[in-house]
Amino acid sequence: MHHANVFYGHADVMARYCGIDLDPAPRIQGYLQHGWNIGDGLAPGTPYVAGSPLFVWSEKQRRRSWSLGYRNVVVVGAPWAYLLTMEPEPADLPEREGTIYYPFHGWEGQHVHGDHKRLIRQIREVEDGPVTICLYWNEYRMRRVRRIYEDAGFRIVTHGYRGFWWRHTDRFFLSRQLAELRRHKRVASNRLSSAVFYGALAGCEPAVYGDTMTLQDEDPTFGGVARQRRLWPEMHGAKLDLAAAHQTARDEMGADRILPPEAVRRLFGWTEEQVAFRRSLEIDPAVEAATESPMAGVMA
Amino acid sequence: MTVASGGVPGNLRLIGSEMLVWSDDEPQQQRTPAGGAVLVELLTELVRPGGRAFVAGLHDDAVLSVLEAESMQVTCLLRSYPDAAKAAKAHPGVEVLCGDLTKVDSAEPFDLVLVGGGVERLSSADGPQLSWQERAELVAGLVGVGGTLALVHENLLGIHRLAALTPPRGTRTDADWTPSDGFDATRPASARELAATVAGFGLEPSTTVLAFPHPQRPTALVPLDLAVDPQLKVHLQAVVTTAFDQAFDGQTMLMDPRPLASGAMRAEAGSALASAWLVVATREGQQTLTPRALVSDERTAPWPIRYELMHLDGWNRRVLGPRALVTRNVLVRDPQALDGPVPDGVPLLDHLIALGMHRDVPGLQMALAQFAAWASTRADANGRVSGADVLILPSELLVVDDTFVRWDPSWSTELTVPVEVAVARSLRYFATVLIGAGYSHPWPQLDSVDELTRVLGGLAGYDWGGDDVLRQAVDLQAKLTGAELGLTDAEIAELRVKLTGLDQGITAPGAESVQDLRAAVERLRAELDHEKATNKWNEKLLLGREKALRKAEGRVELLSGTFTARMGKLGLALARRVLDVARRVLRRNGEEQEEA
Repeated sequence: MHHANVFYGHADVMARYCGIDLDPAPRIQGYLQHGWNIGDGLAPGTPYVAGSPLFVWSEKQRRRSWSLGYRNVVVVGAPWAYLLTMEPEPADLPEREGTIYYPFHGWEGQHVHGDHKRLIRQIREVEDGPVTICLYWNEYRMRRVRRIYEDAGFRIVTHGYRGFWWRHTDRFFLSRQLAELRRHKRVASNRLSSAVFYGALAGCEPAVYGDTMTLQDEDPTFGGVARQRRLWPEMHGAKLDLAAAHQTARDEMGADRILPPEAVRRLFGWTEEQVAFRRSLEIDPAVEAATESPMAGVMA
Repeated sequence: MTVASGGVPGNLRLIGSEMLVWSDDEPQQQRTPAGGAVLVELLTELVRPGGRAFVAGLHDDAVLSVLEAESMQVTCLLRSYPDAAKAAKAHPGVEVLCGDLTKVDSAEPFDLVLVGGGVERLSSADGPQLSWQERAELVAGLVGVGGTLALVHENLLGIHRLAALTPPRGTRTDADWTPSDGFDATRPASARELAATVAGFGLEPSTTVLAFPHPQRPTALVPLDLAVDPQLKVHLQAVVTTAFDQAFDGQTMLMDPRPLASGAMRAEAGSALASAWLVVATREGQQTLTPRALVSDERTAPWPIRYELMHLDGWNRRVLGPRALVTRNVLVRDPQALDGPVPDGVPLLDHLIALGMHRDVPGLQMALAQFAAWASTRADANGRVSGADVLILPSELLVVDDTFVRWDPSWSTELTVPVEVAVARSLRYFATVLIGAGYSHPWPQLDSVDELTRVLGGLAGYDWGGDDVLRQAVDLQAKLTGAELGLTDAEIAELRVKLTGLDQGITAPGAESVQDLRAAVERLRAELDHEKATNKWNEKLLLGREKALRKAEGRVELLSGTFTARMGKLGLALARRVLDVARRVLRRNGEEQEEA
């Protein structure tokens, strides 16, 4: 259905979980929540086909979506939680070190305004180990922004491009993110976001602190940062009560609500017939060759 | 609605889990503020001038105003941000907390805690989903020493639910994100359980009060012990029936809630079937409520009045609130007329229905004649009645000894009509109830309200052969209903047309219930079956007659003409007969030989 279903290779993660080896993954018959959400479960402005299933990450999200008028809301848990079941932490994992920090990012249509230098000072005050800064791909491409963090002596990474309109989808975006997170002891951001929850679930100590920055033309429908602080006080601060924070992360990611592959197949409309039909469709190699990633030449 | 766009009012505090685009005031989503005239009236007994009040959930403005008028320091809790912003703006002196019940900081206790819409509405979709008991305990925890809790708790077995078209398990409004209802084992399921649960929180409950017909907006509050008082029973049956009549008029229901309400009160099952229970409980103290029932007559303005039922040397009504005379079009209402002893008698409508059911036609004849004679005694020299004497529907009268008294004497009219027309309107109404509600009565074959009315009129001593009197009766009914509801002339004309053509397919006036509709279909089907059978029978009869006619015509033809011609025809006919016989004999002989 909506192209957001395949952002970050979410649909691919779910297909792999279901034992369906198809690229691209079969179409999900509904809307899969694509990021941690404090609104109705869909990104603002998503055109919603009335009555379509809405696959959300958590029970709290389901209640919120229901209260906002959606009925066909199903808790499936985050694809990230599924990924962790498929790629458990290896026993020989090198010792974790330092902090990965995700400065709150905008996206292609919105840019953040904020004081990066002030943020760097705050990070330095809190973190005593090495710091990795993970930038969103558009900020990663902005030399000015990269330079600020590089000059501070931080390591700069990006997890890649999330894809748009089914093009340039990075099927292993989340796997790469998981590998990066597992190198670190701590995960932090200036705003509570998917990345912090991902990190917490991947075994990092989460933290949310620093200049929150503002999004250009930010939609205030969801109450903004203040509401997040009121709703999830246990997730805010430089040092958190880890037991409480990890439990919240499990709840928000629906980590305890993971469904068996057979249930996912039925819910997403990935029945044997449909998968067989999808397999029968040939994909023109010429089309594939024509789609070159905009990240080409950017990725280190 | 956004928090950022309008700025948060100074007296509004966001405590967490606030619902930003939600409102508990969306009637089309079956969500309305708690309150209503009788709840406000009850509250006047509970206020603690100068004390601290906590109002949990969305309530009418009037509720907050009553508390503010007594200089109470009011804090209210609303899960909806739009509701909270509105309340904060309308009541600058009230501290408004917006968010989930679990986020309320209960450091300072309250003298009065009001939960008029139940504890279910205190939870946000973002907050933890607590059990009923956990929520109620949080609310009870806010009551300080000597303080009072007033909690309204919906009865899942209430008449409003039993009669609802959608099964409660099937409601899917935006508020039903996690319906617990009867599946929450901690949720009190009876008045006794409710009182016991509240007592378990360390509060001393007073008498439980039964609320009808809507849990959120009751129009009748009846203390449990009054509900079973034998002297008050008949009156309370009428009170509760009227409450349901007004609340569900024109709505489609599974069953007519009125007989159920009346039956519940009669069977002393008011507690089991009340729409909600209101428990008033005090911490380390006893709040005694005045033993009175509170009733609000809910109609369109300017008619609403509210009154109390109290025992003062017998049961009395006393009007509360405005007492001035009000009028609209041809109707007049004088609230003060309601003051005084409650009339003790049998409702005329029930009396007539019972006679009809028992096929006691002589009894019915006597009752109707008596009624008509009584109406005539109220007429002037020209046989016309005016004022209250026009309003003599059987549902409005009580039979007391050999005469009739009005159940609600506050109503009157400026109209003057022939007494015959007033009686015809009354009997036509009775006929409508008999057919529409599907009562068993002596003349089920009469296929229209007008026909049945004529029979009833005949028993009462009238002859309404023409259409004149019945048409006037319909006019009168349309005019009075129009005045009551505030209809325009065009709407009154429309109503008149609707009232004219009433047949076996009608349902009882008021709510349209599936049971009644089914009964109406059964009646129409029986009528249709009868018509079909009649048609078949007529067809058969017609065919027989046609055959007989044909035979007779042959005979006539045979016997017509001159003597010679007739003899000739006779001879030919005889010869034909002989030939026929001869052929038959020959054929039979041939067949016998073949067999041999």
